[in-house]
Amino acid sequence: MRNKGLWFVLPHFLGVLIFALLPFLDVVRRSFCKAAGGFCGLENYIAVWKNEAFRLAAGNTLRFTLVCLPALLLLSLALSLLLYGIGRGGTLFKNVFLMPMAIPAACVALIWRLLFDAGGIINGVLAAFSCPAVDWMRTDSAFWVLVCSYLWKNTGYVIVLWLAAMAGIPQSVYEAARLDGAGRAACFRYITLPCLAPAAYTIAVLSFLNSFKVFREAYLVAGNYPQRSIYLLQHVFNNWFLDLSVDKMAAGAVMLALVVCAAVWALGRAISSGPGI
Amino acid sequence: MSTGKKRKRIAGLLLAAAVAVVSLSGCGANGEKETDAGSAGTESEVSSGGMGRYLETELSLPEGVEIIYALEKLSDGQVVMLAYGGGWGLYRSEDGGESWEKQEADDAKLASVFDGYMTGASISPDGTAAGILVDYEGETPVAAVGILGPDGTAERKELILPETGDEADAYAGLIQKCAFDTAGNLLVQNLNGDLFSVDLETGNCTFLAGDSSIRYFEVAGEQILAVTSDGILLFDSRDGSSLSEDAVLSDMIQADSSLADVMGDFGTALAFARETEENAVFYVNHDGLFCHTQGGSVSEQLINGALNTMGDSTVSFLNLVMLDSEHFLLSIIDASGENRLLKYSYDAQASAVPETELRVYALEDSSYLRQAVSAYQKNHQDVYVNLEIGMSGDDGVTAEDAIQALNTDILAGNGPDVLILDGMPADSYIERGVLADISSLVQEIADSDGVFENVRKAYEKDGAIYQFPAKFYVTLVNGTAEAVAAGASVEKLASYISEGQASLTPQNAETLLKTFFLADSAQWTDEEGKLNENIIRSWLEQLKVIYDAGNWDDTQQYYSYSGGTVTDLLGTLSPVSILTGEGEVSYGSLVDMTELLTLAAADKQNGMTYGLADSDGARSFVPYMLAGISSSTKQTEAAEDFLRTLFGKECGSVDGNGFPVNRAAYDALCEDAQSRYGEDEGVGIAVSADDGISLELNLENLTEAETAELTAILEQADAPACMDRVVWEIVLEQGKAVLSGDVTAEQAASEIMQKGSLYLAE
Amino acid sequence: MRRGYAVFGMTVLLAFAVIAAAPIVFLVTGSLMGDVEIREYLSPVLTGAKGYASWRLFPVYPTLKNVVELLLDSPEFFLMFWNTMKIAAGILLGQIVLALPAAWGLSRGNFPGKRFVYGLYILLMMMPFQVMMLSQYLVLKGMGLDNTLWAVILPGSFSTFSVFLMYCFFTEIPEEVIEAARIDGAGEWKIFLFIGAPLGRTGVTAALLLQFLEAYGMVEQPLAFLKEKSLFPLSLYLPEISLEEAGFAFCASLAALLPVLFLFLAGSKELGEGIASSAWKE
Repeated sequence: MRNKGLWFVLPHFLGVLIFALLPFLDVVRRSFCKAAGGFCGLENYIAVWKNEAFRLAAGNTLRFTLVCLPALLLLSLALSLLLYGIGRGGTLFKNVFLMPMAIPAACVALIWRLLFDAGGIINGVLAAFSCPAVDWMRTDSAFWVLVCSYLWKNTGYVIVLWLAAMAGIPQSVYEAARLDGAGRAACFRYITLPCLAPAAYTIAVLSFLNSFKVFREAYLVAGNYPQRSIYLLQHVFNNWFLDLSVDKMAAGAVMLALVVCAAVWALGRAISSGPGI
Repeated sequence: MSTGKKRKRIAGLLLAAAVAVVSLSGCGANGEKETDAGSAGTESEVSSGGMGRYLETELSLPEGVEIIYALEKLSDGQVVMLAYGGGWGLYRSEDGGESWEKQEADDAKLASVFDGYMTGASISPDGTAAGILVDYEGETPVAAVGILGPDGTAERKELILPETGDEADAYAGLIQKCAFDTAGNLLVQNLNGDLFSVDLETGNCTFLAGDSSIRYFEVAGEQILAVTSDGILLFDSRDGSSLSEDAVLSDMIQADSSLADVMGDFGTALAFARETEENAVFYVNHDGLFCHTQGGSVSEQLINGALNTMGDSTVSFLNLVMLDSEHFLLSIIDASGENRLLKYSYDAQASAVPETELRVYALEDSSYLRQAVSAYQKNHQDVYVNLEIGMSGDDGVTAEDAIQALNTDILAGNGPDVLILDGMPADSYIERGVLADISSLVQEIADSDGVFENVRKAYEKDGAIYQFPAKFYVTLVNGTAEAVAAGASVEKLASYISEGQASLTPQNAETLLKTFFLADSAQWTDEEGKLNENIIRSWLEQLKVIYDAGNWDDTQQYYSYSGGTVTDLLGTLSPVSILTGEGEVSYGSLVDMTELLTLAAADKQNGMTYGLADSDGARSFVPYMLAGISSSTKQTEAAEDFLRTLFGKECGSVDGNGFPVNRAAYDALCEDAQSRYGEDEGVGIAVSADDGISLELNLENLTEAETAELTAILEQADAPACMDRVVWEIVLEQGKAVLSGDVTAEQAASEIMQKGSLYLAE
Repeated sequence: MRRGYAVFGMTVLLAFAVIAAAPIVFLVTGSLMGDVEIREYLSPVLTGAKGYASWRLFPVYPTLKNVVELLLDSPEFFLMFWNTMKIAAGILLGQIVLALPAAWGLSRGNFPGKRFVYGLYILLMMMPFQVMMLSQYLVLKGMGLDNTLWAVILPGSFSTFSVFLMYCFFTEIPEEVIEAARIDGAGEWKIFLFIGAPLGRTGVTAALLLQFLEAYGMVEQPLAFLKEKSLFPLSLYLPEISLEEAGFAFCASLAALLPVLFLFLAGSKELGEGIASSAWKE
C-alpha cells in the first residue's frame, strides 16, 4: 500500500511545522543576520567560533555529556538487572527511583546547597571524621556535583526504560539457551545485550536530551556565572539572550544542532540495529 | 482476565474523560478574567470596550482643614464633615462636597465638646456629630463622648462601660473607633475587640458582641462589619446578634491580610460606605471600589483602582460616602500624611477603559513608582497606566527569568513604553538601540525645576541621555574631622584604622563589602568597561585590613536594607553607634533627609562631622529609579509625560529613597527639614545600644548651613556606582572568602578577573 | 552463591533507594518543622553563620502550621495548581490524540520522506528552549495565542520527544501480530487502535509520564508566553526558598509533588510490562 501511515503522521507534523520547525527556521535565518537586522553572511558564526566563553562552554558541555551518558547508562543498566532479578517486588523500588524526577527544581537546588555548601551537611560529616572541608561549588568539584545531580535525577527513568526493554525478551529464548548449557554470563552476553541494543539507542538519545535539563538546577544554585567547570552552553545562550545578542545565540544554536545531528547519526551507526538517519 | 484488571481499565477511562473535560472547560474559560482577589496581580482587570466610567477629581478642603475626622451624608442629602485645623469645624456641603460652608457654632462650644485626645468620630444621618475622647485616670484609660446635636446642643458625657468584674480588663476603656449606623445608633469598639452601643442620653454602653481578633469595624446600613485578620464578622447593629458570614468579603481579607491593619492615624486599606442599596454594600480597597450584594458570589468592580488614586498602596482610606449610585466621596491620607478629599463621578461619555495604554515595566515593585503612577493617573485620566512588575516576590521568578521574558517582548516588538532600569542591563539596551534619547526632556526639567548637573553629566553620552534617575544616594563617612579626611580613600582609611586611631562601627563581612563596593566600584573599570585587576586587588587588601581591625562578631546580623535591587546594596550609616561608643568611624549610605536629621543631631552632640566617602577616588552616587523610554514606543507623548511626573517635584519631594535629582523637589525637602519641628525646641528620642547604654538624642530643625553642607556633598558626586548585579555577585563571593581568610586578595582578584572576563567575553 | 548474589543485589538497591528517596523524607520533615527549628539547622548555609548545616529525621517540635497555612491561607496556590492541571491535561490530551498516531505512522508506515521526518523530529527535540523562545513567541503572537494557556499547551502537545520514545516501542511489536490482524481483515486504524496502542502501552505510558513531568515543571515557557498572573502555573509559585519561609516552601513543594507520586503509582503497572511479553500473552 502506498503512503501507508501518512495520515497518522500528518496532523502532528502540521503542528510541529508551526510550533517547532517554523521557529527553528527563524533561528537559522537570524543566525545569518545582524541583531538589528540585515544579512551578514557567516559573520555571526565566525564571531561565535572565536568567542572564548562559547568555546569554554562547548568544551564543558561535551565533557559533561561524555562523562554522564556512559555513567548513566551503565549505572541504570546494572540497577535494572538487579531489579529484573528480584521480579515483582521491583515495582516499589522502581517508584522510589522515579521520585527525584518529580521534585521541583527550586527544591532540588535548595537541597543541593544544603549538601554542598562550604558550611553544608557533607562538609559537616567530613569534619566529624576530621577530614578537611571541600568548597564543592567553588572548585572544580562543582562539575562532579553536577554529574551526581544528573545521575540522581535521571537514573529512575532510564531504569524504567531498560526494564521495559528487558521484559520484551521472551523467556523462551533464555530457556532454550539454558538447555544448551549457557551460563548466566553467556546468557547476558549473547541474549540480553544484543536484544537491548535498539533500546540503548533510544535511551542514549533521551538521556542526552535530559542532560540539557540539568541546567535549571545549575542555574538556581550557582547563578548565571557558575564555577568555570560547570559553565555550560545554556549559560552562554541564556546570557546572550539577556544581553539581546540574539544573532550570536542563533548562530551558536545552529552549530549545536549540526553537532547533535552528527552525534545522533553516529550513535545510530554505532548501534547497528538502531535506525540511522 | 481478572476483574481487577477490568476495574483498572474503567478507572483509566474515567480518568481520561475527566482530563478531557477539565482541559476543555478550563481552556475555554481562558478569556474570562478572574475577579477574585487572590488572583489580583499587578495588572488590574480591565475589560475592554463599552462606554461609561467613573472619573476622579480632587476637591479642595475648606480653608485651614488639616485632619478630617468624620465625613457622612445626612438623610436630607447634605454632606457634613467634622474636621480640625488649628481649631474644630463642622462643615456642610449642599453640592456633594464641591463647596463647603462652615456651620455656625460657637468655637468655644466646639472646643468644650471635642478638645482632647480624639480616637474616632462620626456623624449620624440626622446630623448629630459625636467624637470619642480618651483620657487617663492614672494608668486606666477612660473614654467620653462629645456630642454636638443638629440643633446646636453640645454636651460631653463619660462612657459607662458594663462592669465585667475582670480586674485585668483595665484597657476596656480604650475606645478606638466609633460610628453611627443608618438608624442613628452610635457604636463603639475598644482595644479588646468588644463592640458596644452607646446611649447618647446617658453615656451608658450596652455590650453587643466581641472577639479579641477584631481589628476595627465598619458600618453598612444596620450591620456591623468587624474586620479581623482572617475574615469579616457580621453583626446586627441593633442587638449585636451574629449574622452569617459572607464568604466573598472574608476571602478578600484572607487573600490580603494587610487589609485588616489599621494604618497610621486610623486610616485603613479597606473602607465601607454607610449607605447601602438594596442589600448591597459598597467598599473601597487598593484594587478599586466595589459593590457587593450580600451573599452574592462575587463583588462587582465599579471603579478600577489602577486608574486613579485608590490604587496607590501608600494611601490609606478614612471615609467612603456614597452620594448616589453615580457619585462617591472618599477621604484619604496620602504618603506624606496629608488628608485629601476625592470625588468619583460617573461619566457616561468616557470610554469604559482609557483608550491609550501606557505600559511601564519595572523589575521590582516600589512605593515610589506606585506614587508616580497614581500622580500621573490623576492628571491623565484618558491614559491607562499598565504597571508590569517582573518579580512580584511571591513566586520563584528570578531577575534573569524576568529579564528574559522582557527581552522576548522587546525583540518581538511588543516591549513596554517606559522602562525602569534598576537592576536591568541598561548598557546592552542602550547599545542595541532599545532606549530613546530623553535629553530634551531632561533639559526641560532642568530649565523649569533644575536638576543636579553632576548627575545629569554622568548620564550624558555623546550629547544624548538614554536613562536618568529620579533619586540618588551618596555614601558618607562619619566621624572626627580627622577620620572624615582619612575616609577620602579606602587606603587612607585602612591605614588610619590599622594605626589604631579609630575603629569602624560594627559590620559583618557582607555589609562591609556592600558599603565599600558602592563607594569605590565606579573606578574599577576603564573606558572600555574592562576591570582593573590591580585596583581590585588593593581594594580587597585594604578591606581585609579594615575587617581584621574591627574584630567583629560575624555571626551577628546587622541591620541592612533589603527589598530591592538598589536598596539591597545600601550600606547603613550609623552615627548613633558612634554616640553609643561602638566605634569611632561610620561608613554607609545616607538614605533620606530624615536620616540627615539624626546624623546632624548625633554629630552636634559629640562633635563629629561627615563627608563624602572616597572623595579622592570615584565620587560615586547610587542611582535610584533609573528610567528610560523605549525607542519603539508609539506613545511617546504619554511616556514623556510619565517621566515628567516621575522626575517631577511632586513625587521627588516625598522624603525617602535617596535625594531627588530634581532641584525644586530637593529644595522643598530642605525647607521641610528646616522647619520640621515647627518653632519648638525639637524632639528628644531615646537611643539604646546593644549593651544597654541608653541616651537621648535631640532632633532639631536643620539650619540653612547644614542643608547647604549636604547640597555641596551631593553636588560633588559625579560617577554612578557600578550597579551591575553580575559584577557585584562575583565580588561578594570572592570578597567574603578574602575577609574570612580563605583566599588571598591576589587569588580573589584573579578569580574576579577570570569570571569578569568570561562575562565580558560573551 | 545464589543467595549471596541476592543479598548483594538487595543491598545495592536499598542503598540507591535511600539516596533517591532522601529528599522526599527531607521535605516531609521540613514541612512539619517550625521556622525556628529550621533556622537552627540550616542557618550555616542560608545566612553564612559559622558551623555546618544539619538535619534531623524527626522534628523535635513537630507542627502543622505550614500545612494549615498552605490549605487555608494560600488561595493562589490552588489557583495555580488548577492552571498547572489544565496545562498538563491539555498537553497529555494533545499527545494522545496526535502524537500517538504519529509515532505509530512513523514506525509502521511507509511513505516517502519518513526517514527525513523522523530525523527532523530528533533534531527539533534537541533544541534548548531558550534558543527557540523568541521565534516561538513570534509564532504564537502571530496566531493571537500569547497570554492564553494555549500558548503553553499547543507547543507542548506537539513536542516531538514523546513521538520519538513511542516510536521505539512500536517498532518492537512483532510484525507477525500485525500481519495476523491484517489477514483477519482489520483496517489500518483498527490495527492501530486495537493492536498497536494496547501493545505499545509501556512506551506510551513512559512517554506520557515524562511529558507530564515536563509540563508540571515548566518555568521558562509560561514565563515567556503568559503575562497574566492569574494564568501562572504552580511551577512559578514555588518560591525561591528563603530562610524565613523554608518550612512553608517545603510544604508547598511536597503538596506539588503528591499528584506526581500518585501518577507514578497509577502508571507503574503499565510500565512494568514489556511489549513482546504482552504481545505473546494476549
